[in-house]
Amino acid sequence: MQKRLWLSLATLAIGAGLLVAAGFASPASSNSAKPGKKVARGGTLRVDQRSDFDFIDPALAYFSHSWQVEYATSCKLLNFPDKEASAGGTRIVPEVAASLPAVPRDGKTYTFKLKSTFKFADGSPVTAANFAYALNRDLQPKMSSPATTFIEDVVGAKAVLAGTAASASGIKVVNPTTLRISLTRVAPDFLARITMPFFSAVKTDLPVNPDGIQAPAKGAACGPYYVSDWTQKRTLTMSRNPFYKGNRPHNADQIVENIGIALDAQRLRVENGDTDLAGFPTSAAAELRDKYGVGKMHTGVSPSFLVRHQATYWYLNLNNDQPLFKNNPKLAQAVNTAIDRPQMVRQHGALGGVRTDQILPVGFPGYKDVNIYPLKGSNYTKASNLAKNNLRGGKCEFWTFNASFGPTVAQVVQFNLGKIGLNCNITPLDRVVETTKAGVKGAQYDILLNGWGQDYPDPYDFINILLSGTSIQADNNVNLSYFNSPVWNKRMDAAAKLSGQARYNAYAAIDSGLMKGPAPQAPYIDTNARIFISKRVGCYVYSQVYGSILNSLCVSG
Amino acid sequence: MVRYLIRRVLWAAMLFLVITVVTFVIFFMIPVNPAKQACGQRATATCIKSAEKTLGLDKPIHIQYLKFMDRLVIHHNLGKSFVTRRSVNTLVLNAAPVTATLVFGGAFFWMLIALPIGILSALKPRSLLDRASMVFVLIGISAHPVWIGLIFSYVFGAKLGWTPITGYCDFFQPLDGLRWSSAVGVAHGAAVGDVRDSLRRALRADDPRERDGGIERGLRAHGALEGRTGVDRHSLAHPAQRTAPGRDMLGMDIGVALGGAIFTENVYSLPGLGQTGLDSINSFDLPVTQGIIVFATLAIIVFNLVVDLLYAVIDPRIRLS
Repeated sequence: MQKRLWLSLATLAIGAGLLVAAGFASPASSNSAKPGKKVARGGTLRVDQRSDFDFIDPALAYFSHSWQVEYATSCKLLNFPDKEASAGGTRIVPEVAASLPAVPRDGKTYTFKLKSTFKFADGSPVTAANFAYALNRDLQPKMSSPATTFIEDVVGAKAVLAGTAASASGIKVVNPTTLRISLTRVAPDFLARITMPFFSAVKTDLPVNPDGIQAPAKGAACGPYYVSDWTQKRTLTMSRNPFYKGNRPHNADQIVENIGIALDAQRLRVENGDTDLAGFPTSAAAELRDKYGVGKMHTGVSPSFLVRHQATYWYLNLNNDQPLFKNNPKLAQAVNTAIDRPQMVRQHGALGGVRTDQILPVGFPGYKDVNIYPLKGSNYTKASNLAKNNLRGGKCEFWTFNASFGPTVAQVVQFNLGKIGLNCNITPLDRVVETTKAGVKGAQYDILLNGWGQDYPDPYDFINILLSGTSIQADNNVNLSYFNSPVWNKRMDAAAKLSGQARYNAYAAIDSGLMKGPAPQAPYIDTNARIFISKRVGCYVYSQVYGSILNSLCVSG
Repeated sequence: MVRYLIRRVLWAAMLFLVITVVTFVIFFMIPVNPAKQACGQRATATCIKSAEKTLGLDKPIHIQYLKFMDRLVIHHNLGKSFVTRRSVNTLVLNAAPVTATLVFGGAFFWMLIALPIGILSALKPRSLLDRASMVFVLIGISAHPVWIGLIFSYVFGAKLGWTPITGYCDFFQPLDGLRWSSAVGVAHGAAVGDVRDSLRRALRADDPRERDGGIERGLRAHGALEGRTGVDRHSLAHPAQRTAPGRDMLGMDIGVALGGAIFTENVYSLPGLGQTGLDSINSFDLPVTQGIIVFATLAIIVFNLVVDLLYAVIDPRIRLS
């Protein structure tokens, strides 16, 4: 017994010794800038990524951090200014196009006049043919590009997708500086769609290869930078495009992305000055907030912790294809009234987002704040009254994903709905399995936890995509509420044809009308991006579409 | 010897077939469509159909399996990733050296520590050294490699600044050798904890009342003679007897070390087979998962075969037939 005690004490002493050594050790100071040093143009910006990029080919890249690279390297007909959303960062502006295209009477044909100042990283000029080739390359069946869904309404696109035509007849190069695109229907959101990286200019000799291009990717780079090296699973390097003459900032000489870095290590690396822009575990958000404050740039002094609104929301799908919620708006409203949004939001970590009861994210085009359901907590009395005689047996099947905040949000909702007599069984699934199974029409769930982020900043990408019944099919559905109301389908279709402020007003009315009436969803959070940057970084700009604007960031040292 | 070799190779082929079939079947039982993943959150039926063709998912499972075997056996090609469409051969060949440096580096450190401690413990049972080494053994057995890795990363990387906190660099890149040594060296230290110190325990002579245990049992099994200390100097001088227990344990532990590399690689962000494999499982990337399983299976089979053959080479009394 004495011997065992001796062994235990020795083990304890070693463990304590390690911890004490850690506590007394002075922090490493490698690569740290001196306090107060001014931020200037030049230097190397270092970024940590948890996972590798999927592709650097604009036709194929679809991970959010791949789009961040695409944004820094590509040039597009239309784009967003490198500004914060509050300063007009979500407003579409011409980039290679000389001006916004005039929309003709039929609303289906767009003519773009191009500037002649843009060049690829190898010095060759950007012309209308480069944009036409990019669009047609996206449509090639061999590419299997995720872009196809966004340009299926281009005249002749379906023939290319079917393999019966080499190029879409609706894409015409009038001359080197004029491009004309014809659509099969009126779709004012086309201008927002064309800002996506899929449609950036590429050289016409870029192969139609489903494996995508490799570095150095000069033939797909007419923006401020180009991908000069990509060692998969290790690093990606962007260097300045020496021929770039556009007006977008390009402050760092080089941007180096370190791939595969664990989140907890990323946070330590920022604090030690080993990297400049990184993530951190969600659980560390409160500590970083307390240590560095929120939203204050401490360039040259200490790391900074910033918070920005994303165009992403999380919600409960109330399945209108199953008996519980089918033609049962009172129960859907009861769910929206009973859920404890503050408690659900807390599961996303400190500063994880803002409470919401609407479909369109806060600040998104078409968003108009309306007070519909309780945002400060549950109202069980009102919810019980709404649910009375509408519980249809009082049992529900709740599908959630089995990681991060998925299980705990489900438990909060389970508790809330239990209070109004709706007893839910929670089924946790892998996130991909959850959405795949739920995408099959007839899936046996009543409530499903899901999130949605914009592909492009237009309300169509939320309202019509998620709730129009006209798109419901046997499999691969994204309308996971299976909401299909002829009246609302008609209103959504009508709004999709409008442009300008009339469009946004119509979508704002649909947003509030849907939530007050049939309430096919129970939205609860508009998420925030939480950004952690080193003391070397200045000139910070966040885009709701692309996250941190890498080409804008400047570094000292 | 030849008959033994043929038998072992046939068993290895059978094992290989079973493992690949099981991996295939499990993958296709999961309700996930990689073609849909390739087409993004707004996947259309047209895009999914063309992606299925591009990824080779438009054929029945058994045809896909036969195509996989054909590619592997005839063309030595593991296929392409569903997610990134990169060559799996390249992915595996890039990742394998990273894991190899970790596993064999860890094994080297482990042998360096375990051999002298084990022999000294055997010679002086119940001494202070014996007991101190037991503490070391207990830490090695009890602490998970993730924990050890995190502590080492925090203490030596974040606090002391002696090594990078995480990350990998190639040994052969100019001036990177030193950084490689410091980064991977700490990871080796973490990997040492994972090998459970079984070699040390195998080498350790325990209580005289249990003289059939530890090194003595190992050495007796390999023909050692008894001496005053329990280990005859003549028997220790014979290479077969000196290395036999450690060799056996090394053969068994290399598979465990490969599995443990998943944890160490993730803590240190080393782009080895473990991290690549884990990423592929999370993204339902069958070709990459399958490629890593094939590679690891072959590595373990070959390694164990070599260890078994060493019996015959080192100790002719062992009959492999």
